[in-house]
Amino acid sequence: MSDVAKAMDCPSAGEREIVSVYLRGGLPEREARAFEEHYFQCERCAEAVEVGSKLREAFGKSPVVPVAPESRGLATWLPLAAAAVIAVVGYSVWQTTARQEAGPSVLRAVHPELDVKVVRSPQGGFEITWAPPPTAATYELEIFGADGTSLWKGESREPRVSIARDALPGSGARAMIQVEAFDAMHQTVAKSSPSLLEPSEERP
Amino acid sequence: MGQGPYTPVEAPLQDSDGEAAQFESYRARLRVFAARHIRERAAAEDVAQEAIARTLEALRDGRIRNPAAIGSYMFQTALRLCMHRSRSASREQRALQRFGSGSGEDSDESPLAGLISAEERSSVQGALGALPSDDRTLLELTYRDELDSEEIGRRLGVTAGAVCVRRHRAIRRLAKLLGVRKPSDRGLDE
Repeated sequence: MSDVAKAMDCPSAGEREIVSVYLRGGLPEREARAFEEHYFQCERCAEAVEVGSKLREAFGKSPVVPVAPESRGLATWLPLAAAAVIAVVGYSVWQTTARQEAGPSVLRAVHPELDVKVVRSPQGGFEITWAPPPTAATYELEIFGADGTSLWKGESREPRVSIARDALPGSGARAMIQVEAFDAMHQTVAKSSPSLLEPSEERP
Repeated sequence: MGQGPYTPVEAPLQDSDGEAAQFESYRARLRVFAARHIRERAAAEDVAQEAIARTLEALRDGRIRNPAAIGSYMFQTALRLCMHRSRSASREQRALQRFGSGSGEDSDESPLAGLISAEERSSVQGALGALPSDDRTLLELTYRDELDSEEIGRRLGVTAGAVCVRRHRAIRRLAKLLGVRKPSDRGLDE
């Protein structure tokens, strides 16, 4: 795709207001996070973020309004948490299949969740599979250590990957896995929460 | 290495100069991203540097095959680094509070002041002064007064849509004056 086409494909190409609203902390956190993920892949939005943050600082403001710390604003947070709990419970009742395990990813709310299964291969490696979303064309899979260090990253056009035992340092002990699905335009269509790289049947 | 329907990369995607230029273009967005999440300028700089180093290493090791995936890899790396730092900072704060040394409150002073240098701030002010007055007014209303497009449109007597278009052009002009050029920018506006 040409640069021009890429720029035209940008969902915020005609609406740069999102940049100033983001920098002044006016976006809901979920949208802010989605926009961050976007501007790491969109040069035009990244440029607007860079220039906008410099402008704010030149005008004597913080370049970007930080995420409110969890410890602050408890009185504001509690009603929101209560509302979120009610929404989650309602959603769970509505769903016929309840998830047994929910990861900590804040990105889960942005994209549909990929359910990843891990089994040991006869050779001692890992066989990783997931249900393919209808529009998915490619997948990126990453394994990282408990400290966030990336241990392995690969791509696949099929909803499965085999990883040899010796491909991971320390046999992958306490490693985490995350899978992201992309459509033909390389836009994210689904993503798994980071979860421990261990055979699914061994999970408690 | 893994077995499956993918193939390992045999050669680097770019020469080292090209890599360096491309990775530097991520530094500004990494700083902003990290500053928003960890609220501290020096730590934000560290995260930006670490994310660039890790991504460059992954690229050279062949763990990133598709150049289009670099941004996504950089984002995920920076996100994990920020989460890791936030957890460490929380533990440290709790420990300090346990021993009676922590203030228990964040400072009200801007922890992000100085994300750009005084020289750079002066350069931004100079570039702003070099813009046509309409552009300058629009950027001041947006970034200094923090008005939305509807309100700016009312004040300037134009539609909110026209404000968005004009602001986009003003940002582009300012970016050029500041030398903010992305590697993939060529051909967009020439």
